[in-house]
Amino acid sequence: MGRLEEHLVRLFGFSTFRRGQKEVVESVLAGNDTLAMLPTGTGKTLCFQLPGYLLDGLVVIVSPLLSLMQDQVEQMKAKGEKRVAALNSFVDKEEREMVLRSLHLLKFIYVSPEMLQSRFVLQKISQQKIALFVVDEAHCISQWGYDFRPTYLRLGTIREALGNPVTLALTATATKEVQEDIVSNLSIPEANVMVYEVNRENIGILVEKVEEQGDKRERLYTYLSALKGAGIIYVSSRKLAQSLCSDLLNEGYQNAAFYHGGMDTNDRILIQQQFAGGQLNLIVATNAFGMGINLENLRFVIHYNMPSSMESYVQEIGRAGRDGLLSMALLFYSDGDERVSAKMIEKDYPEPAEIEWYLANRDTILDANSGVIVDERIERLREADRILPKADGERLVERKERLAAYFETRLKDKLHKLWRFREWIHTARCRRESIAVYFDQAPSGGWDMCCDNCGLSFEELVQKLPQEINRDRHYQGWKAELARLFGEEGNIIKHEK
Amino acid sequence: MYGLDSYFAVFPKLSREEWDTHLKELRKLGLIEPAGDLTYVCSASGLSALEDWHIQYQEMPHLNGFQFKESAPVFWARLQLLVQVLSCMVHQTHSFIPVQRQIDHQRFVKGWLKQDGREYKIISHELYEEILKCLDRLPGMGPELFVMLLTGHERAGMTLGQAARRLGIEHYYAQILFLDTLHYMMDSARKEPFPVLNGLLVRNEGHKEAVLTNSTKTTWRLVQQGMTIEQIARARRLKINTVEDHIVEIASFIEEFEIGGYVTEEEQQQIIDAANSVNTGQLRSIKELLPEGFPYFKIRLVMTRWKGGDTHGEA
Repeated sequence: MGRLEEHLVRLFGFSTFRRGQKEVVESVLAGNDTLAMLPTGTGKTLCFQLPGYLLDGLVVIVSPLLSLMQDQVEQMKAKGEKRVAALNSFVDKEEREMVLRSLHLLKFIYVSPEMLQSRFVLQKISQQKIALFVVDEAHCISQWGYDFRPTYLRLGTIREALGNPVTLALTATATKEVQEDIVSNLSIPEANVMVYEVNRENIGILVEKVEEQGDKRERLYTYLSALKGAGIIYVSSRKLAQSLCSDLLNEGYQNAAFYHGGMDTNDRILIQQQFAGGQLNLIVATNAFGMGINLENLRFVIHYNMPSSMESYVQEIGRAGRDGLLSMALLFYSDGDERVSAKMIEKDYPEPAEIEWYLANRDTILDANSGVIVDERIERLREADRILPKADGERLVERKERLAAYFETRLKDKLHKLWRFREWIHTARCRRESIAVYFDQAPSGGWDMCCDNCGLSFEELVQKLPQEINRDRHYQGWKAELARLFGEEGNIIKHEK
Repeated sequence: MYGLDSYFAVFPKLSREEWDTHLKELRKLGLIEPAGDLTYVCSASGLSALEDWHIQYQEMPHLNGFQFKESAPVFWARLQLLVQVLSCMVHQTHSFIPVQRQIDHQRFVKGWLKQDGREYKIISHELYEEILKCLDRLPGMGPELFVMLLTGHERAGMTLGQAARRLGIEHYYAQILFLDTLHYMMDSARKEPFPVLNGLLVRNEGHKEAVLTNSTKTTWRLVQQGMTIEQIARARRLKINTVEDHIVEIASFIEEFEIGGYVTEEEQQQIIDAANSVNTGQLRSIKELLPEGFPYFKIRLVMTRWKGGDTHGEA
């Protein structure tokens, strides 16, 4: 067994690396800046955790997904690693100060890009010896990416402020253009660019076109009755997540729940845990939110509404089959779905009148320190306003035009990605091939259980899916359950009234 | 003021729109009748419906929103965590993801266990007995609902929505039923020999400010910065009515808050005179004695300071 494998067993309990992990770890340990494109489900956390343990110093991980950050911290702690913390807007001031004071005791720190804009935070972190600078979801730095976040643009400067530490940029979905953009924006021109096949061999890809929107429901019930094991159904809105879930519960699917960003945090954690523990096996989630689900044996991913880009699609179906066993990705499409998606995308972008209002109130009531609660759209305006370079003596009118032009470009790009994905839905070509081509990869061909265009049918796929045992514990009433929780089953007889 | 203390803050997340929708529904069904601005009374059919519901829905004698508004969520968070920790420990599971994410709750439970010092098995048994005793005294579905929400070994608790569904009851009903049970437990923890539960109670209630709802707190901060009601409403994209509600809430709970900026001395005197002559807290009656178009908001503000019979206004 190689040295690295020894560490792998000792630290994580795995005997082998997943495809790509070892090479990335080796690259980082050798002191190379690295851009790694690993398909979803590869376990990219290990790519920075393992080297992190073998290197001296703090591992700083930048991530845009705030709630996911918290989840990851909790998971690391549950596995026994206590020297981990998160810094983001969800963390209250007291907690933040405590984390910043005890940086020297930490090994891993997750930070949101917004937090890093604070000079104080940056200063505190740069005082530590930094073993590794990890940029998770690195595609967010690119305007050509599907999930551009302006605060990521500052990461190059921040990296410099931290003393140019060895940097690992991770992404699951990046076209060549985006990869180049990442490397250039982070100022790591000498980086080792390691790109792995986006293709997940163990996921069968099916697209089903239905005549009417209403038909989707029927087809869904038919398929669900044949499917065993845990799965996610992706929908485009919170309202639909709740209503579809309600309908499923009424249809007799006892173990279903919805999951979206508007939920109470405590409820969200409970649902996640229920799913992880097998109490639930069907989650109806909004696209953005499915990220929090981390099940090894997720058997199927159903897209009830189309995602807004190929990148989202690949990332979302990538949730399935982390155990390497056969899984299913099924997408429903009905004519006009793309128009609904387009409307939703447009809704997210501010109109000129809104930009005007923002600029008029920016320095007064909307001042960042006023404590006024702003909605997401204003927040996005503010972010863009901060990031866009300011010309000397720029007047408000010019600023408005600049912001308007910026958002128009963003919107156009997003819609372009949507149409490209729609093309993929309508293609007659092998779907896996098309996906590879989208990511500038050469398709390797010859796949078993490939896609509907290659002749794969639902019936065939569902038959070959691994059998799952549904762990169904029978709830026996509150007294029995209370006794079980506390290990008092023997005493329950004493207390019978 | 109106004997509604028990129901205070029972539905903290209920939005104005939802409230208005429900009111509209009740009106449509003829169960309530308007009796002046923003006031309704039960109609005859409403009263008889209430009687029917009394049979269908159980009593909530332990509900005490006013007393437990701040402390109930804290007590519940601590209890959830403690049950989870003990349940896992007793079953030899040492790694688990805490059901409560907030650090101060986690720290409290950790600290409490350390300070208690006894073996997990012993504390667990004690807590089990205490909870069992409490719940055993309660009729109806309260205990069932309560236990469904608990997290422990091989079991993540249900959300309130899930439990409500499982029990076949409405979400709102489940919410109050849960609070009724929880408040009973907290009350018992105070009065009876339940040392573990007692240890989880909140000691000091903290600032007066803590009593304000979150949204009101934000408005309060802006008021302190000198913003007018209109400015606040615009900045926060709220209705003027909503911000006025906040101001009334602030006036009710924060003694030092000066209402003189919203009601002139003269107006205050007018209102007090009217209130005194009517000698009832009823806003409608008071409004009748005042010039036409006199804003309810001003009346409500003054009434928060009116001690019934007191004739002193505020500068």
